[in-house]
Amino acid sequence: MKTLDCRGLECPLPVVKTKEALKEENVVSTIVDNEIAVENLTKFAKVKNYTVNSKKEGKDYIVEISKGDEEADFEVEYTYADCSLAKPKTVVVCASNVMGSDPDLGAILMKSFIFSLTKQDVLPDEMIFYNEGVKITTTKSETLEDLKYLADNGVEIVSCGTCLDFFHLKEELQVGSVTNMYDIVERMEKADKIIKP
Amino acid sequence: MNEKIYCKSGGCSAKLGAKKLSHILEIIDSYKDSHVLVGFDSRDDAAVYQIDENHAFISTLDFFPPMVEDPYLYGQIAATNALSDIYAMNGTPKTALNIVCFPDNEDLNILGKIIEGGNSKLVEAECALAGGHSIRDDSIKYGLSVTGLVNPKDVKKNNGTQCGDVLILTKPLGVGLTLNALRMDDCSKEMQERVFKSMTTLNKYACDVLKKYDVHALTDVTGFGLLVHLNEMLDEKNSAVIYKDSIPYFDDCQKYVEEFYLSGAAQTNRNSVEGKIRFDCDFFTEEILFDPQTSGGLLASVSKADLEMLEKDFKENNLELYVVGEVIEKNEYNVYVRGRKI
Repeated sequence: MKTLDCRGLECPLPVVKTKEALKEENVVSTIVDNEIAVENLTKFAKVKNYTVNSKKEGKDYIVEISKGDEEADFEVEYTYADCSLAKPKTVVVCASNVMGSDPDLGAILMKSFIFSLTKQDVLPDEMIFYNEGVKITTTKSETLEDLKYLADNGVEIVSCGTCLDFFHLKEELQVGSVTNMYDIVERMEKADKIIKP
Repeated sequence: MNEKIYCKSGGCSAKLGAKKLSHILEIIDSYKDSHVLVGFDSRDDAAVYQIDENHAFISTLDFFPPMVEDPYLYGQIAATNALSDIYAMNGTPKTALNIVCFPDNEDLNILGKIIEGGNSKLVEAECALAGGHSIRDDSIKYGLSVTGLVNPKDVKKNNGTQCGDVLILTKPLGVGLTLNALRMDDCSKEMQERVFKSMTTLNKYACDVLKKYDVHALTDVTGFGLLVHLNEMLDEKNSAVIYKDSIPYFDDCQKYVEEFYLSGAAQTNRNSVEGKIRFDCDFFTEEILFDPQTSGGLLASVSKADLEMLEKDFKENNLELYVVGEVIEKNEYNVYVRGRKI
C-alpha cells in the first residue's frame, strides 16, 4: 500500500495523483484537506468500481482506495459524496409466470426467484413483465407482496399493456404501471445487465 | 512563457458554491428601492435599476485569478466574461472599471498586457474603459465592473421559462475540463485554440440575434455549469429535459473526464443541486453538465414556434447554436437528463 499526501493540492490533482499511483499499487491511501477532494476521490473510485473508504482525522481526511480486491478487510463506507452517479443498470425481464418448462415446478421456482430478489443487497433497477409474465403482477399472492416490497424499495415495475389486454387483466393490475413495447425496447436497450428467469 | 501568473484555480471555477452563497445572502437585509427591477433576491446575473419609463441601467462585476499563461489572453477572457452579464440581461455595455489585484514585486508589464487585453474586448463591445481600482495582493486577480443600458421592457430575467419552450445554448461546454487539462499539460494546441476562441467570443453577437425573438428566460453559463444555471432558471416553477445526446462540448473533453481532470468546482456544483436532477446518462455527460465555464455562452428559453427562424438566423450570422433540451411541467425532479423522445 502507498500513502499519498495531497494536502494543499487542489482538484483535480489529488485524483490524478491517486489514479497514477493505482497503476503500480493495489491500495492507495490519499490524505487530503478538504471535503470536495474526498468527494472527487470517492466519485473516481465508484466510477472505476474500486472499493473506497474514507475517514476524518483531525483537519484532514484519509481516503483509501483499493482496486477490486473483494477480500479487502475494511468495510465499505460511502461517508461523503452521495452523488448520483450513473451506476450500471440492471433490468429483470419476466416473459412468463413460471420458470423453466415444467409448469408446477416452474411456478414454485418463479415464486422463489422473486422472493430471493427481495433479499439481494443490490436490487435491480427495473422489472419488465410481458406475455404470461403479467399474471404475476395481476394475481393476488405472496409473490405479489414481494413485488410490492421491491416497488417500495425503488424497483420500477412495468407490465406490457397489450399483454394485459390479451389476458383481460387490465383492471387487475396490482403493482407497478402499464407500458408499451416502445418503452420496453428502450428500457432493454438502456440496460447494462438483463436478467431473465 | 510566463508561468508566474498561473494559479491553482483560475477562472470561474474559483467561484464560491451557490449553496454557500445563498446561506449568507439570506441573512442580509438590503435597502429596498422600488426602482431596482432585478436585485439581490432573484440571484440574477446583474442588478437592473429603472431610471424612467424607457431607461434602466445594469451594473455587474466579475473578476477571477488567471487561468491561462498569456496575460493579454487572460485580460481578454476576463473582459469577455464580465461583459457577458450585461448581455445576459439583454443590455448594451457602456462603461467599465478595472478591478485589479497585483503583487508588489511582479513585473508591471504583465499588468499592462492584462489590461490591454481586457480593453481590446471593451473596444469590440463599444464600451468605454473609464477607470478602476488596484490593490496589492499575493496573487493576480483581474476583472471589470461594467455598467450597461437597457429598456426596462426588454430586460430578460433568468427565471421566466414557459412550459413547452426549447432550451438553447450558444457555446459548447467543457471550458473547465480543458483548463484542467491545460494545467496538467495534457491539452493539445488545437483544443487550446478552439477553447480560447470560444472564451473570447463576446456574447454580444448571440444577444443581438436573440433580441429579435420571444426569449422567456436568459442567462449566461459560467462557474455553476449548465445544470445549476438551468436549475436557477427553472426557479422551482417548471422542470426541464436535457437531451443527453445533444449536449455540445469541446472535442477532447470525453478524454479529460476519463483522465479525471475534474475540478472541485464541478463537485460543488453537483452538491448544490443534489436530489434535484435525474440522470439517465453516462458519467461523462453528468460531468460535462456540471463543468464550470469561464466566459461561457448564453442559455435561453425560447418559444418552440421561433426555433426554426432562430436557427436560420444564427446560421446566417455564423454563430453557434445548440438545442439542448425543453421545458416541461413541474415534475418530481427539476431536470431530467435523458434521450430525446416524442
